Amino acid sequence: MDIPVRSNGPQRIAFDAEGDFLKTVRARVHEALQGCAPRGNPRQLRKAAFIAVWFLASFALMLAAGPIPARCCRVRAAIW
Amino acid sequence: MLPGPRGNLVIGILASTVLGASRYLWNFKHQVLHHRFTNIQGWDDDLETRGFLRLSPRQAWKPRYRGQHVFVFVLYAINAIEMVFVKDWVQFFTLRINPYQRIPAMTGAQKLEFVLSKLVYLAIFVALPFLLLPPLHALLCLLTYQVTLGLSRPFGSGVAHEGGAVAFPARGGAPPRWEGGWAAHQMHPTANFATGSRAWTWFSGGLNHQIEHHLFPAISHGHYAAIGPVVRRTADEFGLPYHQYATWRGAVASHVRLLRQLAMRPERP
Repeated sequence: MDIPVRSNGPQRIAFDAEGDFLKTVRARVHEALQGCAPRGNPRQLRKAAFIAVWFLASFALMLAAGPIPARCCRVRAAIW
Repeated sequence: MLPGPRGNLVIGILASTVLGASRYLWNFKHQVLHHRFTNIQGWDDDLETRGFLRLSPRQAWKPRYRGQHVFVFVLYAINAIEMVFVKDWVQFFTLRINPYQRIPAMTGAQKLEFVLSKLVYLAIFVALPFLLLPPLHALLCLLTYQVTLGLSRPFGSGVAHEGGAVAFPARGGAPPRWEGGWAAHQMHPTANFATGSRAWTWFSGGLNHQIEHHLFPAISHGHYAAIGPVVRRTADEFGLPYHQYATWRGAVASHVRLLRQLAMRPERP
């Protein structure tokens, strides 16, 4: 991997060709994941949907909550 | 996350719009610079704080870094606000990420996406709350959102790279050359934390398995706990380090200790 850049810092950087570590670890990980989809598994999609709903519901609740309760305003007035 | 590129592209555009951060700049800073050149001074943009912090022993010491382990929390808290409202725009107009790196030129479509996603973010998450809510309430909500986002990056993944356990490698030569390849390099400046905690894996999106995230970014983070022992065994066989903090608190404590150490004037040889 060797990418040239136009910069006023170090001009280039170079990694040696990949050794056996990457080849070995890739092969073992693919073997360990045999039978599973590496991406797009249903659990991940359910999690993503849950987070999206959580986010949208929080935002909608925030907008629907209206003004700050009066007791908070009294605290603020007391501070000032 | 999804099996095909088109679905992932849509999710990427939606996520960057919701977070207010530029997808193009993030891709270059994170995927290209950070994931390839992790903790290498002048290359990894995660180490660049425009001179506010000294995150690596390879950076020159300045008197203003005294006490950085205390004021760092304030800077982390406002870093998303700065990114969304200031830094992205400065980088968009100057085409420069930091003093060392230029941004590859953006196409017309990429520029349009940048401007549109920022406008949609401002309309929905800034203008709308200020229209519907009292100003103080809207401001508190915006700050809560942005401060949470700001703290989540350094404390969710930054502690995995900027701590006492990991390395900040440097090499000589012209050009500097890394022996052993990219994957072997990744094992030196990266650490996992709290890998036994399913809650941390869930909330951080697998970033507590930072080593597996760096070696296998295209594999769903739901598999990281399963492949962790495989990666560890292989690293041991090849004589490579496999850094790990038992807890998140341990990782944060190590990060703060490193910042305190870097805040002190280095002894002259």
